[in-house]
Amino acid sequence: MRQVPMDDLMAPEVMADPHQYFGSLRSHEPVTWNAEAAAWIVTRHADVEWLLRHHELFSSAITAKDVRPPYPPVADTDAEALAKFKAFNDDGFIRHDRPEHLSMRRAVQRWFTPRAVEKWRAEIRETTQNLIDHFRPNGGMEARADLAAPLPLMVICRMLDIPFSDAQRLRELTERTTSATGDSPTRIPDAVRAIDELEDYFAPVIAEREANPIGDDLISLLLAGEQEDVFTRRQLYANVLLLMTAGHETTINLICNGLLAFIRNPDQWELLRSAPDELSRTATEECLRYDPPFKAFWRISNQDLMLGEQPIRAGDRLLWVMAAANRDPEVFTDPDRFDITRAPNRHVAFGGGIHHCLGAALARIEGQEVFSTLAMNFPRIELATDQLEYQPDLHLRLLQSLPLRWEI
Amino acid sequence: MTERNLHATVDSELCIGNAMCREAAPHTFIEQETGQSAASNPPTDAPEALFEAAETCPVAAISIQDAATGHPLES
Repeated sequence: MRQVPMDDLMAPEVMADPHQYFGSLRSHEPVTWNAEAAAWIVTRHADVEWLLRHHELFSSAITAKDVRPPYPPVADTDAEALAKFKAFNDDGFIRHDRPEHLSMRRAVQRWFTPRAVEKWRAEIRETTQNLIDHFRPNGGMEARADLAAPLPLMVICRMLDIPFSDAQRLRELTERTTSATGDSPTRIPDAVRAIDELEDYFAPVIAEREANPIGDDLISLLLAGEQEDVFTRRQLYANVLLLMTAGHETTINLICNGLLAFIRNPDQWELLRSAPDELSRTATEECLRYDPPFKAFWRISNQDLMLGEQPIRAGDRLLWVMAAANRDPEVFTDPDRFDITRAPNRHVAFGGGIHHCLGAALARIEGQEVFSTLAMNFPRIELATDQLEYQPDLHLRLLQSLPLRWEI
Repeated sequence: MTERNLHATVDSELCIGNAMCREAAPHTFIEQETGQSAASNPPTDAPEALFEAAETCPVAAISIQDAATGHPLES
């Protein structure tokens, strides 16, 4: 096996097993400078948690405030596309600091509280069961395309009040925008074209919603925010697309990565089957901890400070790694063990602090209902391939496909 | 119900420092060294503000109780 180049975060070995790579950083140098990414890599749970809870010290305006070239690198010839791509992303509420972040988040928050999202639970369970019934006679499914994608897409389409028949097209377009954090040389111009096409789709939807308000949907909520000067029209677009993307892309990974963990730990599947409703909550938390949908994300330091033992300069870029913090032996007993009864489970899969994932409570319900419903249906689920591939991506822990089989 | 009858708690095992409670009821939910919130009792914010804080907590870490009986209350 070839030596892993220490600084290549996009190396195939890092994609295949980020836990091993980042875990080794955590053990040896928990805040370490990565020359290729021109960033500090932060891997200890305590440091990640501290960083997340001090938004005044660590900015989320991660490209607006960043003077360094992006990582992975982008060709000079794509500078124009990159500027457009950054401007678009910078309009998303997650890339703002206070006070703007607070008013933007407040504009949509009430739809995502733990109590508010409970109203989707029954429908999520029913849709999961329908998908299972549809595929059951086949003796298997490709879990990413057949279950993990359509389920959260159904929910986010309902929230945005757009027809589910458009979901597949929107999914293809949002996939092209999220692949901007991958390693394809044409990824930025591709993403910009997809953003243009998504705007072409949503422009008439938004205009129609504005002319004939139907009230209770996410687009109307964002339009109300625009009325109150919380969002500009550009920001409204960016946040519709952000909610659309965040509303399904990460949940796909929660479902796929979680299912894979169960397949590799059949004793835990047995356990879940013994009490699916009782164990689905702690099981979902353990899936989020063990192999989080999102591996790592950025912050920019607002000032000179100490992170652990490491001095950080104002303006420095930091990549904080959920996948490493979630396996920190300082916090988790036997961290590499998949244990669906683990409690408490202080994973940072959803981040933390003021930027804690807006959709966390919804994602939890989606995970709980998918895992428990599958467990009630299938005594045993097996992998129908011996070749699992992860899509090269700095942030997302994204299986390219997950073929499953079961006994009919 | 008057506000002096209420008691607020934050479960520090659950709190992730989202700080929405500190926006809703700033006199009751106080930032700690850890970045988490803790409740200062008896609460001096209006009852509606306390229930708003509990409702908007993204991890449901806040509970509002009847101070006399300890029973959890909902808005």
